[in-house]
Formats: sequence, structure tokens, C-alpha cells
Amino acid sequence: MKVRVLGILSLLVVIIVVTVSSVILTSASRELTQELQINRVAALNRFAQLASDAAEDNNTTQLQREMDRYSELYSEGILIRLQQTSLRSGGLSEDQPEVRDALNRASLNLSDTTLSPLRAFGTGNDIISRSFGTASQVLGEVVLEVDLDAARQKLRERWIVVVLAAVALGVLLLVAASRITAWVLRPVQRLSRAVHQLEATGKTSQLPEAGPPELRELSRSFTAMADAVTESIESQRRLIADTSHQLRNPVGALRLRVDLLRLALRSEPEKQAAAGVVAELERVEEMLDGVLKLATAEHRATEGSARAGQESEHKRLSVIDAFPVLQGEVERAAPAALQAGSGLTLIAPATESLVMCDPDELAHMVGELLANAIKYAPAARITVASEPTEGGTAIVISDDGPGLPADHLAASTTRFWRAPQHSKIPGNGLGMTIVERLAEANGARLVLQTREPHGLIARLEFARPKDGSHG
Amino acid sequence: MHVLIVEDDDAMASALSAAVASAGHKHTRVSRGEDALLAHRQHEVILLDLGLPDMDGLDVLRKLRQVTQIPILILTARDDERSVVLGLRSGADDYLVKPVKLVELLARIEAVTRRSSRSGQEAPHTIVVGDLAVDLDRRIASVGGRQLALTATEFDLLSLLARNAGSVVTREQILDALWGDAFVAHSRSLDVHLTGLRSKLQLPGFIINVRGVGYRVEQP
Repeated sequence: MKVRVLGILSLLVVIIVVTVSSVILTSASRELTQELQINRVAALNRFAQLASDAAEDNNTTQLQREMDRYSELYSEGILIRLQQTSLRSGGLSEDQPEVRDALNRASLNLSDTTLSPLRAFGTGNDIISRSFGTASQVLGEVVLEVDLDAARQKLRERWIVVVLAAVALGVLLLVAASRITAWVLRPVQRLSRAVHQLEATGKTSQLPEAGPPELRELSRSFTAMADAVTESIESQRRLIADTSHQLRNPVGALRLRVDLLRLALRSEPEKQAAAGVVAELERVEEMLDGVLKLATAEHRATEGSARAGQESEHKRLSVIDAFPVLQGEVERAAPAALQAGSGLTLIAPATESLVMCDPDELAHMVGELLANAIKYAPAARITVASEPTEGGTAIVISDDGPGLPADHLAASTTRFWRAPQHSKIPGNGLGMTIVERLAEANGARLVLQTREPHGLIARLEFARPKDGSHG
Repeated sequence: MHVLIVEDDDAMASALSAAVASAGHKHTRVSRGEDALLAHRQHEVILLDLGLPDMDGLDVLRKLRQVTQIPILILTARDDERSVVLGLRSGADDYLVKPVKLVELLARIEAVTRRSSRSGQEAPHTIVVGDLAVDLDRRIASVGGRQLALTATEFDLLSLLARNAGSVVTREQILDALWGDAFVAHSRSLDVHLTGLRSKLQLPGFIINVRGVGYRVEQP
């Protein structure tokens, strides 16, 4: 939008400046021509008078001297044709076609004392001419060469001045245009940034009130709306967190009671029924855990993106070597992998794989992805590696299990989403969502891909940590 | 054994009482932090909830630690790392997050009381945790009869974890025990030694990384 508005404004500025300066230049040229013309016509008249006198006296010596002096002084040629002779000075001769034309026209008593308008970059001299004689008879003709160079030089100087002034004015107007555009558009841009921020984080910073009144009003309305949205998101998040937190006591009590009850049971059918109860209870516990973790992760993600761009004063977010964390998580997942018959391989990177991340959250993410791989790709070969990417480091957890079709890949980070083919495997459908939110909180992103020929690749892509933040 | 249950939620408290009673322990229940501070003397182990009506559980813990060394188990609904780490740093012997399984609850109570009763006695010569046997006098560790070639630091680390088998040893405690300073930048060396130790043990899942807190060797 800025480019377009500025483009239109600059076009207008250019048109105005060009028009004004061309008007100024045309009038300058006209003025200079006129001045020159008045000057030279006076000289022409003088020579006509002198020639007329000379014709009367039949003595041209004086006239010739005057002519020579004039030509010497102004380096402009004069040609005077009397009835018997022609007088020349300054290298003007009848051989030149335009001189001959002028003589012919003057002999018909047609004066030609107008100069064509000056052009700054033209060349050559102009010619003016008139006849002289009595009222009834043309006694001779005077042709005067007019040297236009001096006038042109003057015109060119004016040109330079006008062009410089026009450029200066143009620049001034353009700067003003861009200032005005910015003034009008800055609130719009801020608003659009704020909308994006609100979309990404559910929070937005206070918009400063600046710009035209209509936009100020809009900013105010937006801020009010954003506050309402933020508050509602926050209260919802708190409700979820508080609810799952509050549920822990009754569920905890229930769990202990059920465990105690199982101790008291004797008969096999009773024990089986109790086992069913425990299994359901475990699902509830898992769900509770997942929801609470997700609420925390979402809180962290909002915190994280609210901080993005600012100085990272969050001390937990530090540059760490990912490898020990990967080792810890592989170690933790090893018994489960052994039980599921999965092969778990950790590939040591050639160099330190430094990432900017909270170590515990990195561990959490890797742990979750490993647990997923073990659970949903039984007896698969699971590989954990960290590899350098263009923009930083990626932690890659891949398996050669059945994988997920493309549309399921996109859906898998949705809350409570379970793949239809996995509905029998216990789980709460929150794992991937938690990983995604935690990745966001740490300025990373989770990318899920299909592995050829089959399997799933989960990549945690971290941007390269900035220099100087090591530690 | 006499267990003091500090818990404000009645249902949870009565379930806990029943659970403790099932293992043959005597118990007293209080619901306020103040009462816990008054009643701790007659008990051998304290189960402490962090969310108390009158004061923060962590404050209760700190105050208790100023006067007594009896084992304290935090049993809480808060599972964020900050509370857990703070709890352990403030002197709790272990922590459990609700909901907890009966067997786990009893096992943890067992572990902390055994550790504290042992610390009063002469130090043991050998620690056995599952397949692992650590001979503290000869500084030899073996897994299923296979002797391990450990470095001095790895041995210290292993024996520290094994001595505390069943409960968490925080990173700070490890750093303090091995390097004599809990807050210096030995964090990376700890990772290195741990990696070495794990690869020599060849027991996947034996040393469990408790995220954000420290490590635990599981009592079989």
C-alpha cells in the first residue's frame, strides 16, 4: 500500500515540477529572445540609416568602417547591398543560401526582423534583414547576422538554475509525500502487526495513538478488542489449568482407594473388574496430565512469542548442546523400546549441535516424540539424530513404521486427534500438540514428514543461535 | 512407623490415611501448615502437601528443615518443575505428584525412611540395587558379576545414585558431592561422566533422568 500511495504522489509531484519548470523555461527563452531582438533590430535600423545616408552621399567608406568596427566588436557579420555595390563585414556573403533569401525578401521590401525563439541547445546564428530607401523606392538591403551563443549561454544558465531548483523542490515534495504516507500508514501497519501478533500469541501490546483521527479511533477499538480476546483466552487457559489441577486431588484419592480395594479383592472376576477400573482411571490420569501439560505449553508459547524479537531475558532459554539431552531421552525411552521390540539408535553428531532452547522442554519434546514413535510404530527402527540445516539445527526422530498419510500428518497436531487406525492404542491425542506448542515457545518448529518408503520423520527445527549468547 | 499426613483435602487425606494404614503404619492427619510445625516431633516421616490453606507448603518445609532431619515426602498436585526443584532444594527427601499409585507411595515412603535410618548407622560396605553391586570399600562396581571399569568420578557418581536408590538426586546434590560446589559450571562434565557411566553399565533405563531436577536409580 505504501508503495502504491507513494507512487501516485510521486507521479503527481513529478508532473507538477516538470510543468512548472517548463513554463518558467519557455518564458525565460521568450524574454531572452525579445531582449536580443530589440537590441539587434536597433543596430539593424542604425545601419539602414547609415546605408541610406551613404547611398545619398555616394560615399561608402564611412559605412564600411562602421560595419567593420561593429563586426569586430560583436563578431557578427553585416551585409549591405546598395544599388551599385555590396558591402560586407564579418564574413557574411551572398553565397550563403539564407543570406540570399533574406536579401531577396528585403528587396521586395519585406523586413525580417523577428528572431525565432531561443533554444538552449541549438547551434548556428540567425539572420535579420530590412530594406531601406525612400517611400517609393528600395535603395538597398541590410542583412545582420545575430550571434545567438551569448544568449544561449544565458539561457543555459537559467536552465541549470531552474533544473536544480526543480530537483530540489521535487525532492522536498517527495520527502513530504513519504512523511505524510508514513504518518497515515504507520497506524495501519502497526494495526496489522498487532493483528498478526494477536493471531499468533493471543496477546498484543498496547497500540500507540498516532496518525489521522479515524485511524486513532480504529487503534483504540482494536486495542479494546484485543484486550477482550486476550483476557478471554487467558481465562480459558487458566480455567483448564485450574480444573485439571483441582481434579488431581479427587483423582488421586480415587486412585488410592481403588488400589486399596484391589488388595481386598479375592475372586478372579472381581480382580478383572478392578483391573478394568484401574485401566480407565489411568486413562483419566493421562488425560489430566496431558491437558495440564498442554495448558502449560500454551502458556509458555504465548510467553515465548510475546518475547520474540525482544532481548531474551528469559534465563531458561539458553544455548545448549542438544546431544546430552538426546542421550538422556534415548536412555529413558530404552526400556519401553525394548519392550515394544523397537530398535533405538542415537547418531552422534560430528560437531556440537547447539540450539537455543530450554533444556527441560527440549527433553520433554524429544521424549514425547520418542514415546509416540515407540507406541505407534511397533518393532520399527527408530533413529534420533541432530543435523545442521540451512538456518540452524534440526533434531530428527524418524522411524520406519507404518507412518501417516499426508492429511493425517497435518491433523496430528490438533488437540485430541487420534489416527483412526490407532484408536485401540491408549493415548490422549495431546502429545503432538504439546510438542508443537513447546517448540513454538522455544522459537523452533515441528515439521512432520513421511519417510520413504514408509515411516514418519519428526523434525524439530531450531534457528541458529545468535552469536554472543553462548552460555 | 508413625506417618504425619499434612493435607488439606479431606478425601485425599482419608485415602492417604487408609493407604498408609494398609502398610501397617500409624498416622496422624493435620490440614494446616501451623499444625504440621507443632506436630512433627512425634513422627518418623512426613507426607507434605504443597497447597495448604494457611501457608505455602514450601515454607512449612523450610521451617521444618531448620529444626528436624526427619524424612519429608512432598505429595503435591503441582507438577511444574519449579515447585519440584524448589521442594527438593529446600530439603525434601523426595516428591510425588498426585495422583499416585498405592505401591509407589508405599515404596517411596520405604525408601526415604530406610535411607535416613541408615544414615544414622555406620556406612554400609556394599550397596546392591537389582543387578548392580557397589563395593564401597574396594571401590568396585559390578553388574551381574561383570566387573565395571569405572573412572574415579564415575564410581563416585554411581555410588551416590545407588545410595539414594529409589529417590531423586538433584543435579546440585551431585555437583556438590562430586566437585564440592553445587553451582559451578561443571554441569557439562556431569553430562560427560553420566554418558560414560551409562555406556559402561549397559543397563538401559537404570539411571532415569528426572527432567529439570536430577537423576534417580529405580529400586527394583
